[in-house]
Amino acid sequence: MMLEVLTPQRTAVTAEVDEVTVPGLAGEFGVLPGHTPFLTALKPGTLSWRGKSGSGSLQIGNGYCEVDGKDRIIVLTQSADKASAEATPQKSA
Amino acid sequence: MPSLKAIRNRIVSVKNTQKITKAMKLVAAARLRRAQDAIVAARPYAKRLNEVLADVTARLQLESDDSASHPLLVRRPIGVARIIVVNSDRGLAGGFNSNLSRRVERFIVDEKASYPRVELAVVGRKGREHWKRRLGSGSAGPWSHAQVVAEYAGAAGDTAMERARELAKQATEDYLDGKIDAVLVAYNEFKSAIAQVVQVQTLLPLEPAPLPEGATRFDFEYEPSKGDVLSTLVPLYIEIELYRVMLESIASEFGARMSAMDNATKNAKEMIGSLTLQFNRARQAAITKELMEIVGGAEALKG
Repeated sequence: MMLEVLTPQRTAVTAEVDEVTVPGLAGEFGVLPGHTPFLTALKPGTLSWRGKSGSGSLQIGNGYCEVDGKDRIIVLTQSADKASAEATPQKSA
Repeated sequence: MPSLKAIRNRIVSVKNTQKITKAMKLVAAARLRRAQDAIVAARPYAKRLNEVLADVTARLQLESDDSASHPLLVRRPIGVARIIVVNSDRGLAGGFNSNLSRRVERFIVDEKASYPRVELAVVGRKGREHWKRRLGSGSAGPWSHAQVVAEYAGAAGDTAMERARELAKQATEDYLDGKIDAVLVAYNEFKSAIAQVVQVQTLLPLEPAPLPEGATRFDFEYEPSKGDVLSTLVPLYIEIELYRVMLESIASEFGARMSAMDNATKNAKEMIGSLTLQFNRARQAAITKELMEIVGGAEALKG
């Protein structure tokens, strides 16, 4: 399934992935292919994904996540920064 | 007839001015390109957010009438309206700032019936100066029901998001607190490098967009609930709208400056042309006069 992470400044990620973990407002949740259509608000936290082309993670801000039932996950967030070593201050994009 | 030297000095001075206007034009053009790129980069996010927001509001309205009570959708009688006026810090951009100020002035007067009291949140030094003159102490005028409540520095490319967030937060909070009953934004919309159009747009209360025909989407599961999702989406929407407004305004400013400086450069060229003509004419006249004197002198000696 496709993961898209959009911020006001840029498209942060478009990748083919097998599993995504999202920091939802009501708790962290995982999304696998075939998930029901679903829309939730997000809270700031770590978004991570795994896929054939590799895995990765981002620190994201407020936003929402949309699973559209056509194997697409769209995350809109205020900011998405590379999460390197913990608590390393990152310049926002 | 000014002396040769005076004309030459004029020419030199106009040439120097021309160099400056030319440089400013080039700088504005380069920065305009960057500002346009930022607008394009913000588009996918804004488009998606608009779609989802339209979807959620449309569904909320279809399903229940408690949507009518969602504080960000409800229309209440308007006592106080806040207008966010987006000016620039710098001038020399043609009618960029003055057009906006004039339009807002007219709006305040014309819409007095709908917006009996107006609070201005002014962005940019040019706007602050203008409204200080207009609404300063002792000036009554037709704008007496308006007052400036907040002032901000103008936004550049890298501070646009920050400024948008600040404005959005303030406006949303005041709106929910009931301090203000409407939020509008006035700015220069970027049409092209030579055309900017002043827009006055309402942000709050939110106008629920109709669900696009045939675009029936999956009925989503909403978590925690549609109302809660909406409460998250609306601030994001206000923020991205203001961000877009900032970017439009920045692009417009550079566009306006570019064409203003292009005109100035052309005018300088014309002026140099006519001054050069004048200079040559004066020089020719001086030479002719000298020749006449010499000839006249020689003639006189011949006796």
